[in-house]
Amino acid sequence: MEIGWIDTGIVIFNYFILLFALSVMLSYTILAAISVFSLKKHLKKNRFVNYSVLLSLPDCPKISLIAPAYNEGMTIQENVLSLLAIQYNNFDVIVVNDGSKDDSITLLKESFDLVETDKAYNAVIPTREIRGIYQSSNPAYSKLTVVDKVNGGKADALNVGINISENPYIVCIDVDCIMDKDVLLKLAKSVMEESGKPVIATGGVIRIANSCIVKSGKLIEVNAPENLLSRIQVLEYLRAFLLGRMAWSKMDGLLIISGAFGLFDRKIVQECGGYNTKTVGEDMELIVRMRRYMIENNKEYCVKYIPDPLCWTEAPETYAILSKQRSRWTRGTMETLWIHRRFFLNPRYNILGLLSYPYWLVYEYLAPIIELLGLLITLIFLYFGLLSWPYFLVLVLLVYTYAVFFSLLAIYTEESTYKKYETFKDIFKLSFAGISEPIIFHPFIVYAALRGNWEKISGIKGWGDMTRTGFLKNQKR
Amino acid sequence: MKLILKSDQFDNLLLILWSIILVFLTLSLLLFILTLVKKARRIRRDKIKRRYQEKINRILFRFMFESLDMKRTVRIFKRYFNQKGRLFALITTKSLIELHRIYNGDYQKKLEDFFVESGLSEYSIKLLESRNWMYKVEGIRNLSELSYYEGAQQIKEHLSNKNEMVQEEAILGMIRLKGLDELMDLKDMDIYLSDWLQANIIHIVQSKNFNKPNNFSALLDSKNPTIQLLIARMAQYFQSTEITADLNLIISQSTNLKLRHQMSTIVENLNSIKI
Repeated sequence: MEIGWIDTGIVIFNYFILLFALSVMLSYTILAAISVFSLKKHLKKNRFVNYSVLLSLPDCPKISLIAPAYNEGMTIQENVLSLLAIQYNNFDVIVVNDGSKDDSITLLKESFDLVETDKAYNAVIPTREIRGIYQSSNPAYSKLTVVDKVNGGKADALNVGINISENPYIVCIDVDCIMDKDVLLKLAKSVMEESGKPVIATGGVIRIANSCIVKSGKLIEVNAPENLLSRIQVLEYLRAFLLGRMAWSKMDGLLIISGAFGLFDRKIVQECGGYNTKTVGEDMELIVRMRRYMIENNKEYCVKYIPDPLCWTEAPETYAILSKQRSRWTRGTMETLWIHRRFFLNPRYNILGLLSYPYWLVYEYLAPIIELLGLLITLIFLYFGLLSWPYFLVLVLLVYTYAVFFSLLAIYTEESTYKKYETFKDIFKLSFAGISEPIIFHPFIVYAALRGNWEKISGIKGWGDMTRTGFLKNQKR
Repeated sequence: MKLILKSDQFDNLLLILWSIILVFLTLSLLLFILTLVKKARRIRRDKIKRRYQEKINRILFRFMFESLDMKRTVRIFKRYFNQKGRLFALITTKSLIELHRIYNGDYQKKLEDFFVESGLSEYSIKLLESRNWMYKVEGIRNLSELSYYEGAQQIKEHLSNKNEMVQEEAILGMIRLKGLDELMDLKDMDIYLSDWLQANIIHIVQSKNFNKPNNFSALLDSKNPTIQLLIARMAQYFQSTEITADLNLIISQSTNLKLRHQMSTIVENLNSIKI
């Protein structure tokens, strides 16, 4: 009787793991197919677009770029200059110094001739205390507002920026990101071309800028990163943005707009209460809350997504920093999924409740836990001599070959669409990263996600220090 | 697991999984090769494009500013066009449009004449007959940007095209060719003029220095709120303060919140001009 029970358990386990792996592959493939189809359509449609039309239009949508800064003294001057140089008429830049411990605020004051204003601060969204609001006495920087505040985290700093802004749209960015100069033109178009339903948010694609050449805050040459870890992250981003989010956007099921770059309707953000300061996944949480707010109040809306690479960021180059980043992402996902657990299989939230939420729960949050369980049970089988090596090897090989195939599909899609990587060498480097990723990178990502779970359970909060190498080393090249 | 291993069913499962692995391996290899082929093609195409562009620049420069006459220019162009095909025509038209935007007067006329004499206008008309909407849009843009008035009738036929992109391009094309009087034809159309399309229309008005149409306020009779909004925006551009009363009437009667809000802003701006 005992043997029969064990056998049944083994059979269930085998089929569960196999079905889970196959369902992951199937869902990725379906999403990729929808993405490629939509991407092609988007590119065809935008082939004839003349974005400069907006430069001559006095009443194009007014946008505030909000950039929270914490200890960014090394690069803040150049980053702000780069933001001010963006091509658009109706925009301003709000830099929020989130109680930096370095000399960021002094540098900003000196570099941009800032003087304190007596502008009243209306905290529609409650925030930490404001120390001062500064504007430049130099007309060349008239678009710049700097807010100095007590440290309260990224979400709190963004909320301050939202409160300060007087424009109908806000673009929340990381101050160290490199933006394409026509980024606001593209975002504005997304708002303007919608017929009927108001656009409450637009997400864009983030790309990795490690080893790329940057000059005066402008990306002038795109290269595949030298560092293998960041090169693998290039692939990760390509897969996520080109083969994943595009499909979710097409199905109106987008649950995340990256914190590094996104446009929002300021009024709706304020009505929703702004960024949640109690979660480290404030970017995902905000968009889920905004959508929930619109649905629960029976308001028509749409969330858009621009697949063009518009924002370039620096990826972690060491396992230590990557681990912090990924465990934080896991905590953020857990928190958002928990806060909005009402979505789960709830038809009231349409595709969000019936597909997006369950997908995130199973394939984003639970997947690493399932992988760990699979590994532990396999080890138990091995210990008791129950492991079927042929089955085990076939399963591992199946998952490995699919992972490689999917990465190569992402590279092919990139080459067929945006063609940002210029040389054969880049293609070889990225392909090699695709081959090595499942062996050297994926296990670590699973570990980091599990660590995130552990941190959440044990009550660890906060972001942890995210030391960056900076684009400076590439600028010298 | 050992028990399952012994069954034929499990052997079959392994066989299926091996087959899937083989498929993934083949697809991976195929994708890798395709990526390299694509990259090689792109590099080659970019080189060709650069070469064509240099040739076209040389020909057009000599035609515009030196002694190369129309006959010889057309002969040279046609020789290349016959050899190189569509890509050469595409790059030439693009260059013509860019130059047409920069220059005016005699230079503009010279470019328009070349567009006709070289057969590119005819080629663009043919694009309108294509089944592919992208070619249609390209054709409309070529003809209207290079002021080929004879093509207006063919473009007009596309105002009711089922494809949104073609329809929008036809509207822009007709305004480029016929000016703002064309708006009278649009007045009763049930088309949604998005803010983006309106921005494009106003851009044309600005770049072509169009004058305010005579029947300006009559356009506000349109039942289409997006057309009413466009007219209000144009009133702002032309600083036509005389139609603020009509705009106020629309604001008071309309139930469309967006229209009311945007028109109110425009009326405020117009009132500030009055003061």
